[in-house]
Formats: sequence, structure tokens, C-alpha cells
Amino acid sequence: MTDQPDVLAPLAQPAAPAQSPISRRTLLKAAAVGVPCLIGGGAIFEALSALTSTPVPTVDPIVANYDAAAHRWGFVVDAVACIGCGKCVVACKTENGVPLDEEHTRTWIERRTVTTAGAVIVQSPEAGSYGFEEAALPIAAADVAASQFVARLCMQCELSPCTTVCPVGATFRAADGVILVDETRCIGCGYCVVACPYGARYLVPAGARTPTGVAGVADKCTFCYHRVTRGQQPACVEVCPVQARKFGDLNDPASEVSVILRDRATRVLRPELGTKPRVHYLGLEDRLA
Amino acid sequence: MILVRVHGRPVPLDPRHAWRAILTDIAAMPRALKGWLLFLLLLMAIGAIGAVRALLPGDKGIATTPTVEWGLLIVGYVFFAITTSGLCLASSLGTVFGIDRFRPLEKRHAVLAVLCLVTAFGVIALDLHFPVRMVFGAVFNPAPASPMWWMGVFYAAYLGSLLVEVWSIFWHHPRIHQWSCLSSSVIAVFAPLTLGAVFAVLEARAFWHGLFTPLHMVAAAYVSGVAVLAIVFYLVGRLRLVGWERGVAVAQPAIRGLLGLGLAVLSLLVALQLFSGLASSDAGLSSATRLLLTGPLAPEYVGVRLVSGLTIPLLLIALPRTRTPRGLLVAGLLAIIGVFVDRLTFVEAGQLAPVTTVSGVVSAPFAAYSPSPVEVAIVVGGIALVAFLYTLAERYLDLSESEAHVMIWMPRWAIYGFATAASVARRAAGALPRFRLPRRRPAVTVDEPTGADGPAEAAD
Amino acid sequence: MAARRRSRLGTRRRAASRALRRFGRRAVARTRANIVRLRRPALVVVGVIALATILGVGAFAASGFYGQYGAPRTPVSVRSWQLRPASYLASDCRGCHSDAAAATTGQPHARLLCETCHVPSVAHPGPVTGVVQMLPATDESDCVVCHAALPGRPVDFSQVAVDVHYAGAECLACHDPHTSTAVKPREVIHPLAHLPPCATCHTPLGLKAYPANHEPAPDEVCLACHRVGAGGS
Repeated sequence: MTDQPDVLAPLAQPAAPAQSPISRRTLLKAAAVGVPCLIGGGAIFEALSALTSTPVPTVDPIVANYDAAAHRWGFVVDAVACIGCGKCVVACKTENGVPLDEEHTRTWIERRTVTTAGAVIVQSPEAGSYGFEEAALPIAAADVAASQFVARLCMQCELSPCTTVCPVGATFRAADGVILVDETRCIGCGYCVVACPYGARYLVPAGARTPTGVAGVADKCTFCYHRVTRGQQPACVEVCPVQARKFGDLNDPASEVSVILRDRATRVLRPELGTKPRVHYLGLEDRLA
Repeated sequence: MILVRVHGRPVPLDPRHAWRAILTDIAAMPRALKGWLLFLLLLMAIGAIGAVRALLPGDKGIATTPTVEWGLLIVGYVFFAITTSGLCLASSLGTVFGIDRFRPLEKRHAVLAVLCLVTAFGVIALDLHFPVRMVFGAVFNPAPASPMWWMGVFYAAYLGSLLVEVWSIFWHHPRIHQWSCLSSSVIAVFAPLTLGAVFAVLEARAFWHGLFTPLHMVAAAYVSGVAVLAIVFYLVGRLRLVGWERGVAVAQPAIRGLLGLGLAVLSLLVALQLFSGLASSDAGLSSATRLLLTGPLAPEYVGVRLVSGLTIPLLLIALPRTRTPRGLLVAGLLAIIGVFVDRLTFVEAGQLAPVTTVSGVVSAPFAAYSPSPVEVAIVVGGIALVAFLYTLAERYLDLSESEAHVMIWMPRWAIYGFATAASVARRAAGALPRFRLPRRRPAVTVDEPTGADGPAEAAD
Repeated sequence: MAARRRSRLGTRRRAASRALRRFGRRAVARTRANIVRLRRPALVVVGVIALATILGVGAFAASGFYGQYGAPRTPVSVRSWQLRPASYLASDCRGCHSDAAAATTGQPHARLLCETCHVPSVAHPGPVTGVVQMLPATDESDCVVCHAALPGRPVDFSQVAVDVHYAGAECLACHDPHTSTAVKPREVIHPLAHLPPCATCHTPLGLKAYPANHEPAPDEVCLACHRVGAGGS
């Protein structure tokens, strides 16, 4: 037993220190030069790419004179009046160049049905863009207790989770309350997509239709920002045949949305999350919310 | 001319000489090693194909949808990142606190940690659509409100600290090594907490929200790191790699203890999480928990994660019959597969079970996600890359223990306090009824005089 | 001073012998040999406090002020929305299409945009790549999308069960979408018993000359529209 090495004892001889081919001084010098070079080079690269990417366009004078701080945009969806025709979805996809498929959409229509047993069935075939004719209810007509069409879009929350969690600050809130995405800064991590409690966001897939010309960045309803800055209304609001979507400036007490929010009872979706959505719903039943 | 020592021989860093040295060395490799490296190269080639597909513009071949935006690549990143943290957590007992039985872990954990972290960054870079923007964006546009930004900061600092640690090991700077081990161990506690916070901050995802998630991430990190060390040290013992004597005698029992402790803590957390999830009034949380236990994810979660990932390794470690190096290997393998499946089901469950509808998920109670071949190829390639580079490290680097002891100065009463607590715990464990396997009855009973039974019973 | 130092040495020696008794010579020697003291333990403490402060700031920033922080930006720096032209209401349809515009005046469809049913004016006068053409102008599917009776639609909205309403006949056969009026098919005013099939005496243009050939013709086609109550619900 004595000639066996005592494995529990610490090693007796220290190992000979290896000769480093690079001296500490050389390494420190290289680091002192190299790291600022890297950072500086990166900054120059970023500046150059920002300058050379797209030429600054000549813009409509209305856009240049738009004062975001003077407005506070509000949106009301009338869940009683909505007929679920889906023209708003078509208009949005047309106006903004959004991909045509069901999952990648800035707005969509849901039909929410509550049965007599209390179960809620939600349907949204092709985001509602072709209407709901083909979507038969899986239950008998006698079992339907209530049914409504609920238009869904970005809530432009006042306490938005999406702007909080963006690691590079690519999504931000403008002074008029609209939340926008800077497609030159977005890295496509998808954190805002999973953070949104309303499912309003998506990453733009590669394909022919990209709202900002870039695939792989986050996208969502912007209240047709290119229209509202020119004094128009969002495309979905204009197109609706029954005026179920209403848009207006809350800073103007005479606008339709101001009157509705003041005089009628509205609700928001998922108020318990504390996101303070800016989109209000008229006439949405409790059991369907 | 720069000279590097390779396998004890000085080799000039001249392309011709280096090439010749590489070829000679490959020829000198044993066949099993060549086969293993070839197999890993094949897996890495598959991973490279997937990586190229993911990097090319156009359809990246990744199966994420707006409903399930975080898929297998995020899971792979989480897995590698927490394994890295766990390695430092596990070996901090040796490097920082100087406890002797954990000192064989010193060099090996550092090499493994660097490889895992670099692979983690590679996997996440393939998932991000604009990875270069991330680096500059995080530096020039800091977002302190974003947990993901903090995660980036901490893991970048962790990478720096690990690189300094590895450098100071192999170029023998004991004081720098001391400090970098300390900083790595401290960051290794906070980094998985920030990674958990990325998930835990989201109120929209009831399954991820809450304090459990960061704690679970740290516990999973610990188990994952220790499981990797268990596998590595089994191979060290089996293949008689450098430092194997103390590796088998000292490190393996120590790792077994750590793995048992980690699995016990993790099981407790998982049980708490499942019970609170089932009893919760939040529809999202309870539906996600039901998804895991009885829904589409049940086979992976209950079968692979709970039974084979927690219960069986605990039994293998606790039962005296399986307290062998091979038992430790199997426990480590099952535990690490269990951690991977756990992170996979965790990331999936938070997204497959929405409360109110989100776009696209309206006709079924749960959404569906299955990883695409590209994602599987990238993760497999990442695992193969770590294994490949670590095999080369075992072959060409001296991974034995060094004399660079590190210890936090603790007051004497603290040292004696810990040692007393450990001995009390050991004595208490000894006082527990010992688990005995029932003695098998012989097929034929032989009548023997009582005297002959004496020595046999004493040797019981 | 000297007395205090002496008593401290005594404490150490006593503690050392206690350690010896408890842990054994080898363990004490190993531990002794292994201690490499950090020169400045205060730095460790400072480092931990700094880390905790950073984390605390992060947690604070992420919690109570949820949603209010993000890198400050102004819309001027986002160029893409400036480049995008407005598609809908890009031009005035009624200026040129005055007849259709006059037809809708005062009618239920007056509150619709022309582009609700027709392609957006930016696509005028023909299909433009990139513009959605999901709803071409002259198809009956246009009418059905809004006017089919579906669960969920408000009861005061004019809707019909498409298969029952005139047996699913083409909407445009009777309805004019601009004026929203309909030419109702004339209902049968005489009893049908003991009569030959409708086509015996009738043609689509009116009554036939007497006598007609006595070939049978299916009555369901005619009666689908021309019977009492053919409008359905």
C-alpha cells in the first residue's frame, strides 16, 4: 500500500510555469490599441451605413410640419356594429404592404362565441380577411348564447411591455402615443413579439411583401402613421362599411372618440395586466372579453 | 518565430511546420479517437449546413411563427448559457473557496465553460436576424429597462472573465487567476438570474412570470454544469486522462454529491412550480401546466424530464449499488438531457398556451410548434462543436491540477463553522436508517454449523 | 499593547490545537498550505455591493416604470413611414364617376367608401403589382361577404340566409349595388293546382302564344323566385 500514490494529498511539486510567447506588456499594448480601434471602427461602420443606406427623401410638407406632441390619438372599436366582413384587414394589408397570410398581420377580426355551457369559441379564419362565411361554428345554432365580432389591433399601450423589453431601443413611443419600430435598429430578436399580451406584433417573414422593405424586423399596426401625419385617418377606419372603427384626437374634445370615451361605457382588453391600452371597445360583452 | 508547446514538443507557428505537425499527430491518434473526431466532424458539418441556411437572406428555414416566436435556437442558447454558468458555480467550491476535493475541476471546467459560452453566442447569433446590430445596438443604445440587455451585459462580462481565467491558467498567473475565478463565480450566479428575468418579467406569459423562473434557471444551470462535469470525469477515469487518479478518487464522489444536491433542490423547485401552477386561478398558468402534465407536451415533460431527468438520476446517485463511475455517467447523461428537455418544454409551454387569443391561435386550446431541420441541425452542430474542441483540449492541453490555489479569506470561525456543519450533516446522514438491499435467498439451503456463519455475517 | 498581542497569540495557538484535535494534522496542514490570502478583501465587498447596485437599478428600471422607458427617439428619425404613399382615398372617385356617385346618394351604401368594394384608387386604372386585389369589383362574393346572415352580426344589419334567399340566386340579377334597390321577381298570383308546368305557358319574356308544346319543364327553377315567400329570411 505504501508505494501507491497518496491520491488525497495535494500535489507536492508546483508545475513549472509555462513560457508565454507573448509578454504581458505586449498584450496590454495590443489591447490598449486594439479595443479602441474595434469600437471606433464599428462606430465608423455604423455611421457610414446610416449615411449610405437610403437617401433622405423629399417629404410632403404636411409631414414635415406635423407636431407629434400636439396630438393624442385614440381608437374605438364598436363590437356591436362590426359585421365581420374583413374589409379592414384587406385595407390594412393593401395600404401597408403587409404579408397576405393569416399569422403575419397587423390587424385581424375574431368572432367570439360563448355557448350556453359557458365555453368561449374564438375563430379567425385567414385573419378574417375573407369574411366568416366559410367558418361554420362547431356547435349547433341553439347552443350559441352570444356572439360578436371583435377587431384586434395593436393597443398602443401607455405602459407598453414591448418598448420596455427591446434590448436596443428599436421600438419606441412617439409623442402622440403611437408606438413605432425603427427597422434600421431592430435586431429581430422577437422579445417584443413574445412580450405583447395582445399578440399584435410579428417578425416580418422573408417574401415579396415587407411593410418597410426589410425582412426579419418586428412590425405591427402603426395607426397608419404615414396617413395620420398627413391629416388622414387609418385605412381600416376609412374602409369600414358600418363605421365600426373610430379614430380621432383625444386632445380635441369635439372629436368622435373623445365624445364616446366621455359619454359611453367602453372597456379595454386585459386591463388586469396594467398596460393601459389606448384602444377601447364599445359594447363588448363581459363574457366575451 | 513563435514557439508553442504541443504535446510536450515545441512547434513553431509556421504554416508548413504546423501542417506537418498536425498530420503527424493525426496519424499517431488511436483509431477510436479518430473515429470519434470524424463522427463529431460529420455532426458539425450538418450544423454548418444549417448555419449557412440560416445566414443566407431569404427564408431561413426556421419554424417559428408569431405565436411561437422563440423556438429551438433560443432553447439551445439558454441551454448552453446555463451550462456555462453551472460549470463555474460547481467548480467555484474549488477555485474560490479552496475546498480540496473540488480542485480537480479547476482547469477542465474553465475550458468547458469558454467553449459552451462561445457556442451559446454562436447559436443565438444564428437566430437573430441582425446579430451585428445587436452588438453595436446594445453598446450605443443601452436599454436598462430591458432584462435582455442586462443579460447581454452579464454574459459579455462573463465571457471576458472566463477568457482571462483560461489565459491565466495556461500562462500561469496565479493572482490574476484568483481574481478572475472569483469574478467568474460571482457573475455565474447573476447571469442565469438575468436570463431567467428575461422570461420572468413578462406578465403576458403567465407560465414564465414570477420569481420561480430565475431561481429555476440558476438551479437548472447548476445541475447542467455538474452533469457535464460528471460525464467528463467519467471519461477522465475511464480513459486514464491526465490527473485521473485524483479525478476518480476525489472528484467523482464530490461531483456525485453535488449532482445529488442539485437534483434534490431542482426537484423541490419543480414540484413547487407544478403544484402552484395546477392550483392557480390564472387561466394561462393552469392551462400551461396542464399542457405539460396531460397535454401534447406530456410525453417529453413527464417521461423525459421528470422521470428520466430527475427521478432516475437521483435514484442512481442515492442507491449504493449504483454509486459507481458508470452510474455517475448515466446519471449525468440523463440529467443533462432532462435539463435540455426541461428548457425546451419551458420555452414552449409559455407560448403554446395563450390565455386570450393571439393572432393565429384561435381554433385549438394550444398552439403547435415543432423544430425545423435547420434548427435541429444547428443545435446538434453546437453540441458537436463543444465536444470536438474539448476533445482537442484534453489531447493538447495540460488539464491537470496546478498549484494555483485560490481561497477567499474567510474568518476562522466561518471556516470551522462550515466544517462543523458538514460533519454534523454527515453524522446525521449516517444516523438515518441505512438503505439495505434485501439479501437474495440461496436456491439450496445448506445446513451448516453455526460457527461457519460467523465470518460471513461479520463481513455483511 | 504587548499584553494584548500575547493574548492574541495564545488565542491562535489554542485555536490551532483545537483544530488539530478536530480535523487532524493532515487536514490542517493542507488547509494552511492552501491559504493564499487576498490582499484587499474590502475590494471583494465593494465589488459585490457594486454588482448589487447595478442589479437593483436594473430591477427598479424594469418594474415600476414598466413601459415608460426605452431609448428616447423622435419620429423624424424613422424614415420608412415618410416614404410610404397613402393608397386609400388617394384620389376622388366621384369626380370622374359621377353617375355611380349620384346613384349612391341618399342610399344605404352612401356611407361606404368606393374603395370598400372596389380596388383602392392608387391601383387605378388597373391592377398594380403589390396592391391586394382580393375583392374584384364585379363579383357577387362582394355582396355575400357583408350581407350573409352569420352568427355574430348585429340583428339590425340587413342580412339574408344566402342559400335560402331566392335559392341562392345571383345577387346582381335583382340588386343594384349603387342604388341598393332590388327588382323583386313577380310572385305567382294564381293557384298552381291542376296546371301544367310553368314553361307550358310562360317564357322568360312573358306568356307564350296558345297552344304551346306540352313538354314538361322543372317547376322548381321558376318557383324558386316566383312563389310567395321566395325571399326567405
